[in-house]
Amino acid sequence: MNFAAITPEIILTAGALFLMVAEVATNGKRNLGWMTALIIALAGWSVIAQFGHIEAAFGGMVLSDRFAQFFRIILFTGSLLATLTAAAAWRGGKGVFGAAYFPLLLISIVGMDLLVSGANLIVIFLGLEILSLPLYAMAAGRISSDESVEAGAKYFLTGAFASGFLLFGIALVYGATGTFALEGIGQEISAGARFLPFLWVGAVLILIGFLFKIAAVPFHAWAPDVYTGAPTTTVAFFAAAPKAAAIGLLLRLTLTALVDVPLETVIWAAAWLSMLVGNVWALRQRDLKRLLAYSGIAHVGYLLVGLTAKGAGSVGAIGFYLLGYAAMSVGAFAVVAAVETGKGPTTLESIAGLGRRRPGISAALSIFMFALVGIPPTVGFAGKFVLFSEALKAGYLGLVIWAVTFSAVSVYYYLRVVVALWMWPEPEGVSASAPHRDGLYWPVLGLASLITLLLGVLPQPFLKMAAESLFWLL
Amino acid sequence: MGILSFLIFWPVVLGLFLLVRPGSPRGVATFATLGAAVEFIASLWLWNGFIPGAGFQFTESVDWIPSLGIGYRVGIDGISLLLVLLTTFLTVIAVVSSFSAITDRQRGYYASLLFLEAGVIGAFVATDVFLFYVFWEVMLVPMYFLIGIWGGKRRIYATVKFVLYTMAGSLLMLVAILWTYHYTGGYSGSGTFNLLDWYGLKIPAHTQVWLFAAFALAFAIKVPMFPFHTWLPDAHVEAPAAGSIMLAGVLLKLGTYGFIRFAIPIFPEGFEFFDTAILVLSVIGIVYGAKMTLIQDDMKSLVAYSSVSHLGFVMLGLSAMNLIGITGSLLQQINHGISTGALFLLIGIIYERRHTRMIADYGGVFAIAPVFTIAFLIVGLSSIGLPGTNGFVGEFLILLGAFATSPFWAIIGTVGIVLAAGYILWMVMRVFFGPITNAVNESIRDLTGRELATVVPMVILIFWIGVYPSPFLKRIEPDLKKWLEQARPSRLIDAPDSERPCYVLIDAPVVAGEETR
Repeated sequence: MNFAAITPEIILTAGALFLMVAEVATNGKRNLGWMTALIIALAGWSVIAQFGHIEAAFGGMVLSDRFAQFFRIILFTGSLLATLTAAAAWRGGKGVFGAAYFPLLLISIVGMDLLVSGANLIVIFLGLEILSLPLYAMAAGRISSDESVEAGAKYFLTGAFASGFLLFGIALVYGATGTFALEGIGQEISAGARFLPFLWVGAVLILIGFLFKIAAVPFHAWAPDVYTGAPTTTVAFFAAAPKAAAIGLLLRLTLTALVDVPLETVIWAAAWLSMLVGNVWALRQRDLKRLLAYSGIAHVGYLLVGLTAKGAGSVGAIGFYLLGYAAMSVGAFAVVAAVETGKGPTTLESIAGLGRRRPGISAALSIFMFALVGIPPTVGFAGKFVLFSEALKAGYLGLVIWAVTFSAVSVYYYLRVVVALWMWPEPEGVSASAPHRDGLYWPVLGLASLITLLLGVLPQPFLKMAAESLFWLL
Repeated sequence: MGILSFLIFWPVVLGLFLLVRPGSPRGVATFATLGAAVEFIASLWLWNGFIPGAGFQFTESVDWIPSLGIGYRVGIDGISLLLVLLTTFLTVIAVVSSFSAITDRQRGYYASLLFLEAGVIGAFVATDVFLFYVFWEVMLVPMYFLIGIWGGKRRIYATVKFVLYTMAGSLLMLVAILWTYHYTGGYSGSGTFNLLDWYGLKIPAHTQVWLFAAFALAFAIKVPMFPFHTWLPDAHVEAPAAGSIMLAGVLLKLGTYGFIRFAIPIFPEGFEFFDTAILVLSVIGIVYGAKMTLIQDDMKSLVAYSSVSHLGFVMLGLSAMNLIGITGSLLQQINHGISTGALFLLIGIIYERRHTRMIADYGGVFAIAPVFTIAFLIVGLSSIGLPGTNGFVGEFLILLGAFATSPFWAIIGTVGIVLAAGYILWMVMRVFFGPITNAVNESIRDLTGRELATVVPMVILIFWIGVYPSPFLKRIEPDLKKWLEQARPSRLIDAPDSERPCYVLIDAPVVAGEETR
């Protein structure tokens, strides 16, 4: 048995068990968030230490190749940022964090990990379920709040629905090719599969299952409600990490297993629609979490542009964009977590004139907003640049023009947040010295801003790593 | 680190330092002034060391993202030299003019001005298309804050409109940039963003048309050419005085500079296709902008529309595609920066005293503030293009060039000059002469020492360029000659005698006689 292939999973699972015990032992009175961040960092370090070594385990069902390691780094970065947010938002064991929040978070990361390192459809399904179940509980984490419970239920129902699609698709693909192994499926298809309609329908169903997960249009309807209702720290987590895992899996699936299956048309249509719906609906949102939910849908659209292009370069571009997106979106949610009062939604009005009172977090939020728009020198610009460049190289001129058109539309709603922060007058009766706990958010905001700016100014090392580690996958 | 990198990064370092440095607001302003002055003095080094006609100089080249063929490549030639100097010069003026006008959040204000300067200089000196695009976008951010935080009543509307217009145009340019980049690599992957390589491309003519259109849209919005100008009056009216100075003085020049540096020489055949359209639109801009000034009752929006008219002249000279026209076009960019910048400066000064820009609120100011009036009159006359001032040289060269290729449109363009005389003098008459209609105005103070220090250098430049432009023309012309060889579409070759250097033309006594005609 080769445990080297699943070192990070082992670390995370052990960490989760340890935290569960610690939770009980401390009677839920200690903030275990920082400890959780440490465990994730440790798992991340184990990936970096192994980087470049290809390990296979469980008869080739789990494959820790460079692709998996690359996506694990992205996943762990996003998760680390989200965990730092949760640690900062911890309020003495009340509300969200009464339950086993942090152990659940770690277990969910294990699922994502399996998703990107799975080389077998069964493992992939397993990974998806391990990833999803804790998320349902985390979405419903604020038990005292009706919205949170509603969000959990909605997320669960749509998630179960998506799993159904996925399972059915897996069954059809298995029926057509006779194997669950990705490599075997690829070989069967190249050799000329016999049940072509089964294969195609199955492939499309698998794709739809994951489009649900990443909230691509037209499978996005759950996202705004869940984002609004679920606790902000949870949303920060599933805005970044599961998306990265699902897109990583889709990449591996389309490039190694479902070769020659014309999925581009479906992905292309989903990209087209996601950019349209996400950006246009975001225009009229005043609730920050809802706005970020629609913005997330739009960004999935940009990512799908890269997925459509389907080339060596586009894999690196997608990875780069996912890492950048994790930093900017988790950063933005962290600011929302820092300013929300727990009484009613966090709207544009509630951050009016915040720049005067709390310039630090206002500056951070502005950086993230400019990054989400795609203004240099942020990773948002560099990421869009490489994504669109790859799509153009593959000949999708119309799609790229569509994408930049809606990037221009997005300027309006992102900059409105900046307008509210710095240019709106402060509401009456707000004292300049109202208590806040911004200091606790410095680790997450600092790290997210650093990634946003550093990858924007100096993308070369990361792009190089991406290109090197992914080239052989093809 | 070379001098150009210093010019780009010094304001950034300074701005960041201002943001975090503790200290009184007054200290912030002094500090920013010193920093901007250092920047200006450093930029004079370029003027001294510049060798006319030697192509790109002071170049620096460092690999930035080598896997994508992106480099940090900077350099200046005769086309960008004066624009860089104009930027550093106007920034000093803008900083000094804000001392008493800005009383809120000074740190952010001066930092924004300095970041803006860095972005503009970066865009002027970049010889890598990616680098240019980065600076082109980056400078939106400080300008957005300058208008949005320190602007007038409708500042949020104006600033969002400004950013949306610019972004909408430039994103299509980004697609065209990417397309051309992949073209340089022949789709094999080893493309480059090096501008000098792009000059050598042989792109099919029908594709050039599309690529040129995408570039031209971005630049036409920035210039702004009719009918893409509607953001400009809003932005100008709402911006703080220093913001207007920078906007009119240098930001608009990026549009015309973009045409000269990128759109036309990279896609000469695309330009050939649109040449007539640009010609007609610029003449429409000249006349329309001038006409619109006549119904403005706000001094700032009057000057804003006059900018539309003046930049129409710049584009007219460009579309002539001969040495005289293009030289005039480039010189007129500098002139407009100085004259219109000075107008906005003076309007800002009087606004600070009376908190109104409405022409109707004034009258008879000459009797109260004679020095101010004289300064305004000089600047106004240079904006009209009175012989002896800088505006005359530029407009004269432009019309000379345009007349050689399209006499009809050149003649219509002269209507703009006539109208300019009308609207400027009419404004001067209503504001400064006649009886004092509003008693409040009697308390208007004349120019203070600090304000004189900002106005006098601009007046000196107005006369210097007006009377003795050859030091400027000598530096820009040799490079423009080479530029024409690269950029001129085959059909537009004109008579050889118009290739005589313009500074010879102007220095020659015969033509000097014509000048006074």
